[in-house]
Amino acid sequence: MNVYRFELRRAWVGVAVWTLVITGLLVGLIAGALPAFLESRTAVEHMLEQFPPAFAAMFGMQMDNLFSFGGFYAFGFLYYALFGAIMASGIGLDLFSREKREKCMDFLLTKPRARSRLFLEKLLAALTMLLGSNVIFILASLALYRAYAPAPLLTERALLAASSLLWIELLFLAIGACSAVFARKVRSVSGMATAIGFAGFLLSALHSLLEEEKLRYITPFKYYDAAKAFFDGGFEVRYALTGAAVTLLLMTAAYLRYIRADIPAL
Amino acid sequence: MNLFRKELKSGFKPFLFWSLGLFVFVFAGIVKSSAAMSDGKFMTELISKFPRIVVAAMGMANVNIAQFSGFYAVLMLYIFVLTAVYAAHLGSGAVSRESVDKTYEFLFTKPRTRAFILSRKLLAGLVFLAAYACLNLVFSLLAVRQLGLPDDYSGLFARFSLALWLIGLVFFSLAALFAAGFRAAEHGARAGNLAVLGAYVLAVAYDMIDQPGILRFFTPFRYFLNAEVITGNVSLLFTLLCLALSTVFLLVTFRRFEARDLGAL
Repeated sequence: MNVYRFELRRAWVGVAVWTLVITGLLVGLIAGALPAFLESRTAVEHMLEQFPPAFAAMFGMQMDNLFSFGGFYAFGFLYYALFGAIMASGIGLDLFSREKREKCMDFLLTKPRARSRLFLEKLLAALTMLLGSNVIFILASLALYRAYAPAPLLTERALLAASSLLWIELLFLAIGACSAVFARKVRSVSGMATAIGFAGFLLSALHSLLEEEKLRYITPFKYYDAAKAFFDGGFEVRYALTGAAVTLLLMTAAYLRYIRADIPAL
Repeated sequence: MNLFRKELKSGFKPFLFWSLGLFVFVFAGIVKSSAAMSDGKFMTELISKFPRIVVAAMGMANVNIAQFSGFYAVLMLYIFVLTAVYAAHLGSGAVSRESVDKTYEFLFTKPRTRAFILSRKLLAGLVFLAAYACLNLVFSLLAVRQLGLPDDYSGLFARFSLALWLIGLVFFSLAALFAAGFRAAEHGARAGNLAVLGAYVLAVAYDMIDQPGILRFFTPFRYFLNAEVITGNVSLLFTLLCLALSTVFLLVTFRRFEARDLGAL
Protein backbone atom coordinates (compact mmCIF):
# COMPACT_ATOMS: atom_id res chain seq x y z
CA MET A 1 0.00 0.00 0.00
CA ASN A 2 3.00 2.32 -0.43
CA VAL A 3 1.54 3.99 -3.49
CA TYR A 4 -1.75 4.53 -1.71
CA ARG A 5 -0.06 6.17 1.26
CA PHE A 6 2.23 8.24 -0.94
CA GLU A 7 -0.60 9.62 -3.05
CA LEU A 8 -2.69 10.44 0.00
CA ARG A 9 0.20 12.27 1.59
CA ARG A 10 0.85 14.28 -1.54
CA ALA A 11 -2.71 15.32 -2.32
CA TRP A 12 -4.71 15.53 0.87
CA VAL A 13 -4.00 19.17 1.69
CA GLY A 14 -5.46 20.41 -1.58
CA VAL A 15 -8.55 18.27 -1.10
CA ALA A 16 -8.98 19.54 2.45
CA VAL A 17 -8.85 23.15 1.26
CA TRP A 18 -11.38 22.50 -1.51
CA THR A 19 -13.67 20.73 0.95
CA LEU A 20 -13.55 23.69 3.31
CA VAL A 21 -14.35 26.08 0.46
CA ILE A 22 -17.29 24.02 -0.82
CA THR A 23 -18.74 23.42 2.63
CA GLY A 24 -18.21 27.06 3.56
CA LEU A 25 -20.07 28.13 0.43
CA LEU A 26 -22.93 25.79 1.29
CA VAL A 27 -23.22 27.05 4.84
CA GLY A 28 -22.89 30.68 3.76
CA LEU A 29 -25.54 30.46 1.06
CA ILE A 30 -28.09 28.60 3.15
CA ALA A 31 -27.57 30.42 6.44
CA GLY A 32 -27.26 33.77 4.67
CA ALA A 33 -29.98 33.69 2.07
CA LEU A 34 -32.52 30.93 2.70
CA PRO A 35 -34.78 32.99 5.04
CA ALA A 36 -34.95 35.93 2.59
CA PHE A 37 -35.67 33.49 -0.22
CA LEU A 38 -38.60 31.90 1.57
CA GLU A 39 -40.03 35.34 2.36
CA SER A 40 -40.05 36.36 -1.30
CA ARG A 41 -42.73 33.76 -1.97
CA THR A 42 -45.60 36.18 -1.35
CA ALA A 43 -44.22 38.68 -3.87
CA VAL A 44 -43.92 35.98 -6.51
CA GLU A 45 -47.42 34.67 -5.80
CA HIS A 46 -48.73 38.19 -6.06
CA MET A 47 -47.18 38.64 -9.46
CA LEU A 48 -48.48 35.32 -10.72
CA GLU A 49 -52.05 36.47 -10.12
CA GLN A 50 -51.65 39.08 -12.85
CA PHE A 51 -50.73 36.49 -15.45
CA PRO A 52 -53.12 34.31 -17.46
CA PRO A 53 -54.44 31.44 -15.34
CA ALA A 54 -52.75 28.85 -17.55
CA PHE A 55 -49.35 30.29 -16.71
CA ALA A 56 -50.14 30.53 -13.04
CA ALA A 57 -51.42 26.97 -12.94
CA MET A 58 -48.33 25.67 -14.68
CA PHE A 59 -46.12 27.50 -12.28
CA GLY A 60 -48.26 27.36 -9.19
CA MET A 61 -47.90 23.62 -8.94
CA GLN A 62 -44.21 24.03 -8.42
CA MET A 63 -44.46 26.78 -5.83
CA ASP A 64 -44.27 24.45 -2.85
CA ASN A 65 -41.24 22.77 -4.28
CA LEU A 66 -39.52 25.94 -5.38
CA PHE A 67 -39.88 27.76 -2.08
CA SER A 68 -38.52 25.06 0.15
CA PHE A 69 -35.18 24.03 1.52
CA GLY A 70 -34.73 21.62 -1.39
CA GLY A 71 -35.51 24.23 -4.02
CA PHE A 72 -32.95 26.59 -2.62
CA TYR A 73 -30.40 23.85 -2.10
CA ALA A 74 -30.65 23.01 -5.78
CA PHE A 75 -30.02 26.65 -6.77
CA GLY A 76 -26.63 26.65 -5.15
CA PHE A 77 -25.79 23.21 -6.45
CA LEU A 78 -24.40 24.57 -9.71
CA TYR A 79 -21.58 26.19 -7.75
CA TYR A 80 -20.85 23.26 -5.45
CA ALA A 81 -20.74 21.12 -8.57
CA LEU A 82 -18.34 23.53 -10.29
CA PHE A 83 -15.94 23.51 -7.34
CA GLY A 84 -16.34 19.78 -6.83
CA ALA A 85 -15.73 19.08 -10.51
CA ILE A 86 -12.53 21.10 -10.54
CA MET A 87 -11.37 19.34 -7.39
CA ALA A 88 -12.25 15.84 -8.60
CA SER A 89 -10.83 16.16 -12.10
CA GLY A 90 -7.77 17.73 -10.47
CA ILE A 91 -7.32 14.67 -8.27
CA GLY A 92 -7.72 12.35 -11.26
CA LEU A 93 -5.23 14.31 -13.34
CA ASP A 94 -2.76 14.74 -10.52
CA LEU A 95 -2.61 11.14 -9.37
CA PHE A 96 -2.64 9.43 -12.72
CA SER A 97 -0.22 11.77 -14.47
CA ARG A 98 2.23 12.22 -11.60
CA GLU A 99 4.95 9.95 -12.98
CA LYS A 100 4.36 11.24 -16.49
CA ARG A 101 4.82 14.84 -15.40
CA GLU A 102 7.84 14.20 -13.26
CA LYS A 103 9.36 11.89 -15.86
CA CYS A 104 9.80 9.00 -13.48
CA MET A 105 7.51 6.40 -15.01
CA ASP A 106 10.41 3.98 -15.22
CA PHE A 107 11.06 4.39 -11.50
CA LEU A 108 7.56 3.34 -10.54
CA LEU A 109 6.94 0.72 -13.20
CA THR A 110 10.14 -1.22 -12.61
CA LYS A 111 9.08 -1.92 -9.04
CA PRO A 112 7.88 -5.47 -8.44
CA ARG A 113 4.22 -4.49 -8.52
CA ALA A 114 1.78 -5.15 -11.33
CA ARG A 115 0.56 -2.07 -13.14
CA SER A 116 -3.00 -3.02 -12.32
CA ARG A 117 -2.09 -2.95 -8.66
CA LEU A 118 -0.51 0.50 -9.02
CA PHE A 119 -3.59 1.78 -10.81
CA LEU A 120 -5.92 0.38 -8.19
CA GLU A 121 -3.92 1.85 -5.33
CA LYS A 122 -4.00 5.26 -6.98
CA LEU A 123 -7.71 4.87 -7.60
CA LEU A 124 -8.27 3.84 -4.01
CA ALA A 125 -6.38 6.91 -2.79
CA ALA A 126 -8.54 9.14 -5.01
CA LEU A 127 -11.73 7.47 -3.81
CA THR A 128 -10.66 7.83 -0.18
CA MET A 129 -10.16 11.55 -0.61
CA LEU A 130 -13.43 12.08 -2.48
CA LEU A 131 -15.35 10.07 0.08
CA GLY A 132 -13.77 11.94 2.97
CA SER A 133 -14.57 15.25 1.34
CA ASN A 134 -18.16 14.22 0.69
CA VAL A 135 -18.76 12.87 4.17
CA ILE A 136 -18.09 16.38 5.42
CA PHE A 137 -20.26 17.97 2.74
CA ILE A 138 -23.14 15.56 3.38
CA LEU A 139 -22.94 15.98 7.15
CA ALA A 140 -23.01 19.76 6.73
CA SER A 141 -25.98 19.47 4.36
CA LEU A 142 -27.91 17.28 6.78
CA ALA A 143 -27.13 19.56 9.72
CA LEU A 144 -28.38 22.57 7.75
CA TYR A 145 -31.43 20.59 6.70
CA ARG A 146 -32.30 19.82 10.30
CA ALA A 147 -31.69 23.43 11.30
CA TYR A 148 -33.56 25.22 8.52
CA ALA A 149 -36.15 22.93 6.94
CA PRO A 150 -39.62 22.84 8.45
CA ALA A 151 -41.06 19.54 9.72
CA PRO A 152 -41.72 16.87 8.57
CA LEU A 153 -38.11 16.09 7.84
CA LEU A 154 -37.37 13.64 5.06
CA THR A 155 -33.81 12.83 5.97
CA GLU A 156 -33.35 10.06 3.38
CA ARG A 157 -34.25 12.46 0.59
CA ALA A 158 -31.87 15.10 1.89
CA LEU A 159 -29.19 12.45 2.08
CA LEU A 160 -29.80 11.39 -1.52
CA ALA A 161 -29.79 15.00 -2.72
CA ALA A 162 -26.54 15.76 -0.90
CA SER A 163 -24.99 12.59 -2.33
CA SER A 164 -25.40 13.85 -5.90
CA LEU A 165 -22.24 15.89 -5.45
CA LEU A 166 -20.34 12.65 -4.81
CA TRP A 167 -21.69 11.02 -7.97
CA ILE A 168 -20.82 14.07 -10.04
CA GLU A 169 -17.33 14.13 -8.55
CA LEU A 170 -16.81 10.45 -9.33
CA LEU A 171 -17.65 11.17 -12.95
CA PHE A 172 -15.16 14.03 -13.05
CA LEU A 173 -12.56 11.88 -11.35
CA ALA A 174 -12.97 9.43 -14.21
CA ILE A 175 -12.72 12.24 -16.77
CA GLY A 176 -9.55 13.50 -15.11
CA ALA A 177 -7.99 10.04 -14.86
CA CYS A 178 -8.82 9.30 -18.48
CA SER A 179 -7.34 12.58 -19.73
CA ALA A 180 -4.23 12.01 -17.64
CA VAL A 181 -3.66 8.52 -18.97
CA PHE A 182 -4.42 9.23 -22.60
CA ALA A 183 -2.74 12.65 -22.92
CA ARG A 184 0.74 12.51 -24.35
CA LYS A 185 1.81 15.24 -22.01
CA VAL A 186 0.22 16.91 -19.00
CA ARG A 187 1.71 20.37 -18.70
CA SER A 188 -0.47 21.77 -15.96
CA VAL A 189 -2.85 19.86 -13.73
CA SER A 190 -4.67 22.96 -12.51
CA GLY A 191 -5.05 24.30 -16.04
CA MET A 192 -6.70 21.15 -17.34
CA ALA A 193 -8.80 20.71 -14.20
CA THR A 194 -10.09 24.27 -14.43
CA ALA A 195 -10.89 23.82 -18.12
CA ILE A 196 -12.74 20.54 -17.47
CA GLY A 197 -14.66 21.97 -14.50
CA PHE A 198 -15.72 25.10 -16.35
CA ALA A 199 -16.66 23.04 -19.41
CA GLY A 200 -19.16 21.19 -17.21
CA PHE A 201 -20.33 24.50 -15.76
CA LEU A 202 -20.85 26.07 -19.18
CA LEU A 203 -22.74 23.03 -20.48
CA SER A 204 -24.98 23.22 -17.45
CA ALA A 205 -25.57 26.93 -18.01
CA LEU A 206 -26.34 26.30 -21.67
CA HIS A 207 -28.82 23.60 -20.72
CA SER A 208 -30.57 25.93 -18.26
CA LEU A 209 -30.74 28.72 -20.81
CA LEU A 210 -32.09 26.65 -23.67
CA GLU A 211 -34.07 24.02 -21.78
CA GLU A 212 -33.28 21.52 -24.50
CA GLU A 213 -33.88 17.98 -23.21
CA LYS A 214 -31.40 16.22 -25.49
CA LEU A 215 -28.60 18.47 -24.32
CA ARG A 216 -28.93 16.97 -20.87
CA TYR A 217 -27.31 13.74 -21.94
CA ILE A 218 -24.00 15.58 -22.30
CA THR A 219 -24.43 17.80 -19.22
CA PRO A 220 -22.68 16.03 -16.33
CA PHE A 221 -23.82 18.51 -13.68
CA LYS A 222 -27.42 17.55 -14.41
CA TYR A 223 -27.10 13.78 -14.44
CA TYR A 224 -27.90 13.66 -10.74
CA ASP A 225 -30.47 16.32 -10.06
CA ALA A 226 -30.53 17.40 -6.41
CA ALA A 227 -33.93 19.07 -6.80
CA LYS A 228 -35.51 15.87 -8.15
CA ALA A 229 -33.99 13.88 -5.32
CA PHE A 230 -35.59 16.22 -2.81
CA PHE A 231 -39.05 16.30 -4.36
CA ASP A 232 -39.47 12.83 -5.84
CA GLY A 233 -37.09 10.84 -3.66
CA GLY A 234 -34.95 9.69 -6.57
CA PHE A 235 -32.88 10.78 -9.54
CA GLU A 236 -34.26 10.55 -13.05
CA VAL A 237 -33.22 7.05 -14.00
CA ARG A 238 -32.26 7.79 -17.60
CA TYR A 239 -29.75 10.47 -16.72
CA ALA A 240 -28.44 8.82 -13.59
CA LEU A 241 -27.79 5.66 -15.59
CA THR A 242 -26.07 7.66 -18.32
CA GLY A 243 -23.85 9.22 -15.68
CA ALA A 244 -23.00 5.90 -14.07
CA ALA A 245 -22.30 4.28 -17.43
CA VAL A 246 -20.04 7.12 -18.55
CA THR A 247 -18.16 7.01 -15.25
CA LEU A 248 -17.54 3.27 -15.46
CA LEU A 249 -16.66 3.43 -19.13
CA LEU A 250 -14.08 6.19 -18.68
CA MET A 251 -12.57 4.49 -15.62
CA THR A 252 -12.28 1.18 -17.47
CA ALA A 253 -10.73 2.90 -20.47
CA ALA A 254 -8.21 4.60 -18.18
CA TYR A 255 -7.43 1.28 -16.48
CA LEU A 256 -6.89 -0.61 -19.74
CA ARG A 257 -4.71 2.15 -21.10
CA TYR A 258 -2.66 2.40 -17.91
CA ILE A 259 -1.81 -1.30 -17.80
CA ARG A 260 -0.93 -1.45 -21.51
CA ALA A 261 0.58 1.87 -22.53
CA ASP A 262 4.13 2.09 -23.78
CA ILE A 263 6.44 4.15 -21.63
CA PRO A 264 8.10 6.82 -23.75
CA ALA A 265 11.86 7.11 -23.59
CA LEU A 266 13.02 10.11 -21.62
CA MET B 1 10.49 35.85 -36.63
CA ASN B 2 11.31 32.16 -36.36
CA LEU B 3 10.28 32.08 -32.77
CA PHE B 4 7.05 33.94 -33.32
CA ARG B 5 6.09 31.64 -36.18
CA LYS B 6 6.90 28.55 -34.17
CA GLU B 7 4.79 29.79 -31.28
CA LEU B 8 1.87 30.39 -33.60
CA LYS B 9 2.25 26.92 -35.03
CA SER B 10 2.43 25.13 -31.71
CA GLY B 11 -0.47 27.10 -30.27
CA PHE B 12 -2.74 26.53 -33.23
CA LYS B 13 -4.11 23.14 -32.31
CA PRO B 14 -5.18 24.17 -28.79
CA PHE B 15 -6.64 27.30 -30.35
CA LEU B 16 -8.82 25.20 -32.65
CA PHE B 17 -9.95 23.16 -29.68
CA TRP B 18 -10.93 26.24 -27.67
CA SER B 19 -12.61 27.76 -30.72
CA LEU B 20 -14.72 24.64 -31.03
CA GLY B 21 -16.03 25.25 -27.50
CA LEU B 22 -16.75 28.86 -28.40
CA PHE B 23 -18.50 27.81 -31.58
CA VAL B 24 -20.75 25.29 -29.84
CA PHE B 25 -21.69 27.70 -27.10
CA VAL B 26 -22.35 30.73 -29.30
CA PHE B 27 -24.13 28.85 -32.05
CA ALA B 28 -26.30 26.65 -29.88
CA GLY B 29 -27.04 29.58 -27.61
CA ILE B 30 -28.09 32.00 -30.32
CA VAL B 31 -29.87 29.63 -32.67
CA LYS B 32 -31.99 28.18 -29.88
CA SER B 33 -32.58 31.53 -28.18
CA SER B 34 -36.05 32.10 -29.65
CA ALA B 35 -37.54 29.37 -27.47
CA ALA B 36 -36.03 30.87 -24.34
CA MET B 37 -37.13 34.37 -25.31
CA SER B 38 -40.75 33.41 -26.00
CA ASP B 39 -41.56 33.32 -22.32
CA GLY B 40 -38.80 35.79 -21.54
CA LYS B 41 -41.14 38.58 -20.48
CA PHE B 42 -42.74 36.30 -17.95
CA MET B 43 -39.40 35.01 -16.76
CA THR B 44 -37.88 38.48 -16.44
CA GLU B 45 -40.78 39.69 -14.35
CA LEU B 46 -40.76 36.55 -12.27
CA ILE B 47 -37.06 36.86 -11.63
CA SER B 48 -37.38 40.49 -10.58
CA LYS B 49 -39.52 39.34 -7.65
CA PHE B 50 -36.92 36.93 -6.33
CA PRO B 51 -34.34 38.04 -3.80
CA ARG B 52 -31.22 39.41 -5.40
CA ILE B 53 -28.99 36.67 -4.06
CA VAL B 54 -30.97 33.90 -5.78
CA VAL B 55 -31.15 35.76 -9.06
CA ALA B 56 -27.40 36.27 -8.94
CA ALA B 57 -26.82 32.59 -8.20
CA MET B 58 -28.85 31.76 -11.31
CA GLY B 59 -26.69 34.14 -13.34
CA MET B 60 -29.71 36.26 -14.27
CA ALA B 61 -28.93 39.51 -12.48
CA ASN B 62 -29.65 42.79 -14.29
CA VAL B 63 -30.84 41.29 -17.55
CA ASN B 64 -33.96 41.33 -19.61
CA ILE B 65 -34.06 38.06 -21.50
CA ALA B 66 -37.24 39.05 -23.28
CA GLN B 67 -35.04 40.87 -25.78
CA PHE B 68 -32.35 39.34 -27.90
CA SER B 69 -29.73 41.79 -26.60
CA GLY B 70 -30.43 40.76 -23.01
CA PHE B 71 -30.29 37.11 -23.88
CA TYR B 72 -27.03 37.60 -25.72
CA ALA B 73 -25.63 39.40 -22.67
CA VAL B 74 -26.34 36.36 -20.48
CA LEU B 75 -24.63 34.16 -23.04
CA MET B 76 -21.63 36.48 -23.11
CA LEU B 77 -21.17 36.36 -19.33
CA TYR B 78 -20.37 32.69 -19.75
CA ILE B 79 -18.21 33.32 -22.81
CA PHE B 80 -16.23 35.78 -20.69
CA VAL B 81 -15.45 32.96 -18.28
CA LEU B 82 -14.48 30.61 -21.11
CA THR B 83 -12.17 33.25 -22.56
CA ALA B 84 -10.65 34.02 -19.17
CA VAL B 85 -9.69 30.37 -18.69
CA TYR B 86 -8.17 30.27 -22.17
CA ALA B 87 -6.36 33.58 -21.61
CA ALA B 88 -4.88 32.36 -18.32
CA HIS B 89 -3.72 29.23 -20.15
CA LEU B 90 -2.07 31.34 -22.86
CA GLY B 91 -0.43 33.68 -20.36
CA SER B 92 1.14 31.07 -18.12
CA GLY B 93 2.07 28.95 -21.13
CA ALA B 94 3.98 31.82 -22.72
CA VAL B 95 6.16 32.22 -19.65
CA SER B 96 6.70 28.72 -18.35
CA ARG B 97 6.19 26.34 -21.23
CA GLU B 98 9.90 25.87 -21.98
CA SER B 99 10.56 25.21 -18.32
CA VAL B 100 7.81 22.61 -18.12
CA ASP B 101 8.98 20.90 -21.29
CA LYS B 102 12.56 21.09 -20.06
CA THR B 103 13.62 22.73 -23.31
CA TYR B 104 14.68 25.99 -21.74
CA GLU B 105 18.37 25.20 -22.04
CA PHE B 106 17.95 24.83 -25.76
CA LEU B 107 16.08 28.07 -26.29
CA PHE B 108 17.65 30.42 -23.79
CA THR B 109 21.21 29.69 -24.86
CA LYS B 110 20.42 31.12 -28.28
CA PRO B 111 21.92 34.57 -28.91
CA ARG B 112 18.74 36.38 -28.01
CA THR B 113 17.88 38.15 -24.79
CA ARG B 114 15.25 36.73 -22.51
CA ALA B 115 13.14 39.84 -23.05
CA PHE B 116 13.23 39.26 -26.80
CA ILE B 117 12.12 35.65 -26.46
CA LEU B 118 9.43 36.41 -23.91
CA SER B 119 8.06 39.30 -25.96
CA ARG B 120 7.64 37.05 -29.02
CA LYS B 121 5.94 34.40 -26.95
CA LEU B 122 3.57 36.87 -25.33
CA LEU B 123 2.85 38.44 -28.70
CA ALA B 124 1.82 35.08 -30.10
CA GLY B 125 -0.51 34.64 -27.12
CA LEU B 126 -2.03 38.06 -27.75
CA VAL B 127 -2.61 37.17 -31.38
CA PHE B 128 -4.53 34.07 -30.34
CA LEU B 129 -6.55 36.07 -27.84
CA ALA B 130 -7.43 38.70 -30.45
CA ALA B 131 -8.32 35.97 -32.94
CA TYR B 132 -10.57 34.42 -30.32
CA ALA B 133 -12.44 37.69 -29.82
CA CYS B 134 -12.79 38.09 -33.59
CA LEU B 135 -14.11 34.55 -33.88
CA ASN B 136 -16.71 35.40 -31.26
CA LEU B 137 -17.83 38.28 -33.46
CA VAL B 138 -17.90 36.11 -36.58
CA PHE B 139 -19.76 33.22 -34.93
CA SER B 140 -22.30 35.62 -33.44
CA LEU B 141 -22.92 37.29 -36.79
CA LEU B 142 -23.31 33.96 -38.56
CA ALA B 143 -25.55 32.51 -35.87
CA VAL B 144 -27.88 35.48 -35.63
CA ARG B 145 -28.54 35.23 -39.35
CA GLN B 146 -30.22 31.89 -38.76
CA LEU B 147 -32.77 33.67 -36.61
CA GLY B 148 -33.82 36.21 -39.23
CA LEU B 149 -34.27 39.03 -36.70
CA PRO B 150 -35.19 42.43 -38.15
CA ASP B 151 -32.61 44.50 -36.26
CA ASP B 152 -28.91 44.84 -36.87
CA TYR B 153 -26.82 43.54 -34.00
CA SER B 154 -23.32 43.92 -35.39
CA GLY B 155 -22.58 46.91 -33.13
CA LEU B 156 -23.67 44.98 -30.07
CA PHE B 157 -21.59 41.97 -31.05
CA ALA B 158 -18.56 44.14 -31.74
CA ARG B 159 -18.82 45.84 -28.34
CA PHE B 160 -19.11 42.53 -26.53
CA SER B 161 -16.20 41.07 -28.49
CA LEU B 162 -14.05 44.05 -27.58
CA ALA B 163 -15.00 43.65 -23.92
CA LEU B 164 -14.15 39.98 -24.29
CA TRP B 165 -10.69 40.83 -25.56
CA LEU B 166 -10.05 43.39 -22.81
CA ILE B 167 -11.12 41.02 -20.03
CA GLY B 168 -9.05 38.28 -21.59
CA LEU B 169 -6.09 40.66 -21.68
CA VAL B 170 -6.24 41.22 -17.93
CA PHE B 171 -6.28 37.51 -17.15
CA PHE B 172 -3.62 36.84 -19.78
CA SER B 173 -1.17 39.29 -18.24
CA LEU B 174 -2.05 38.31 -14.69
CA ALA B 175 -1.39 34.64 -15.47
CA ALA B 176 1.91 35.60 -17.12
CA LEU B 177 2.85 37.54 -14.01
CA PHE B 178 2.06 34.59 -11.73
CA ALA B 179 3.95 32.20 -13.98
CA ALA B 180 7.00 34.45 -13.83
CA GLY B 181 6.65 35.07 -10.11
CA PHE B 182 6.48 31.50 -8.82
CA ARG B 183 9.46 29.20 -8.85
CA ALA B 184 7.48 26.08 -9.64
CA ALA B 185 5.62 26.29 -12.94
CA GLU B 186 2.64 24.37 -11.56
CA HIS B 187 2.24 26.86 -8.70
CA GLY B 188 2.22 29.74 -11.15
CA ALA B 189 -0.38 28.08 -13.36
CA ARG B 190 -2.49 27.27 -10.32
CA ALA B 191 -2.40 30.87 -9.13
CA GLY B 192 -3.52 32.04 -12.57
CA ASN B 193 -6.42 29.62 -12.65
CA LEU B 194 -7.44 30.40 -9.10
CA ALA B 195 -7.48 34.08 -10.07
CA VAL B 196 -10.06 33.30 -12.75
CA LEU B 197 -12.16 31.23 -10.36
CA GLY B 198 -11.86 33.84 -7.60
CA ALA B 199 -12.80 36.66 -9.97
CA TYR B 200 -15.85 34.67 -11.03
CA VAL B 201 -16.92 34.12 -7.42
CA LEU B 202 -16.47 37.85 -6.77
CA ALA B 203 -18.54 38.61 -9.87
CA VAL B 204 -21.41 36.51 -8.52
CA ALA B 205 -20.97 38.18 -5.14
CA TYR B 206 -21.09 41.56 -6.91
CA ASP B 207 -24.49 40.64 -8.34
CA MET B 208 -25.73 39.48 -4.96
CA ILE B 209 -24.95 42.64 -3.04
CA ASP B 210 -27.13 45.72 -3.35
CA GLN B 211 -24.32 48.23 -2.92
CA PRO B 212 -21.17 46.53 -4.20
CA GLY B 213 -19.17 49.76 -4.41
CA ILE B 214 -15.47 49.09 -4.60
CA LEU B 215 -15.91 45.36 -5.24
CA ARG B 216 -16.21 46.04 -8.96
CA PHE B 217 -12.54 46.91 -9.20
CA PHE B 218 -11.54 43.43 -8.08
CA THR B 219 -13.39 41.40 -10.67
CA PRO B 220 -12.66 42.03 -14.34
CA PHE B 221 -15.85 40.12 -15.17
CA ARG B 222 -17.81 43.16 -14.01
CA TYR B 223 -15.69 45.86 -15.62
CA PHE B 224 -18.17 45.86 -18.47
CA LEU B 225 -21.75 45.62 -17.21
CA ASN B 226 -24.51 44.21 -19.40
CA ALA B 227 -26.59 47.34 -19.45
CA GLU B 228 -23.59 49.49 -20.35
CA VAL B 229 -22.48 47.31 -23.23
CA ILE B 230 -26.01 46.94 -24.62
CA THR B 231 -26.63 50.68 -24.70
CA GLY B 232 -23.10 51.45 -25.81
CA ASN B 233 -22.06 53.51 -22.77
CA VAL B 234 -19.02 51.42 -21.98
CA SER B 235 -17.25 52.88 -18.98
CA LEU B 236 -14.06 54.60 -20.09
CA LEU B 237 -12.60 54.30 -16.62
CA PHE B 238 -12.77 50.52 -16.66
CA THR B 239 -11.57 50.23 -20.25
CA LEU B 240 -8.50 52.21 -19.30
CA LEU B 241 -8.18 50.20 -16.10
CA CYS B 242 -8.00 46.98 -18.17
CA LEU B 243 -5.23 48.40 -20.31
CA ALA B 244 -3.36 49.89 -17.35
CA LEU B 245 -3.54 46.67 -15.32
CA SER B 246 -2.30 44.58 -18.23
CA THR B 247 0.56 46.97 -18.91
CA VAL B 248 1.67 46.93 -15.30
CA PHE B 249 1.34 43.15 -15.02
CA LEU B 250 3.33 42.61 -18.21
CA LEU B 251 6.06 45.05 -17.19
CA VAL B 252 6.50 43.27 -13.88
CA THR B 253 6.47 39.95 -15.73
CA PHE B 254 9.39 41.09 -17.88
CA ARG B 255 11.35 42.35 -14.88
CA ARG B 256 10.77 39.13 -12.95
CA PHE B 257 11.53 36.95 -15.93
CA GLU B 258 14.87 38.65 -16.57
CA ALA B 259 16.02 37.88 -13.06
CA ARG B 260 14.63 34.45 -12.32
CA ASP B 261 15.97 30.95 -12.41
CA LEU B 262 14.60 29.13 -15.42
CA GLY B 263 14.59 25.52 -14.28
CA ALA B 264 11.12 24.49 -13.24
CA LEU B 265 10.61 22.41 -10.18
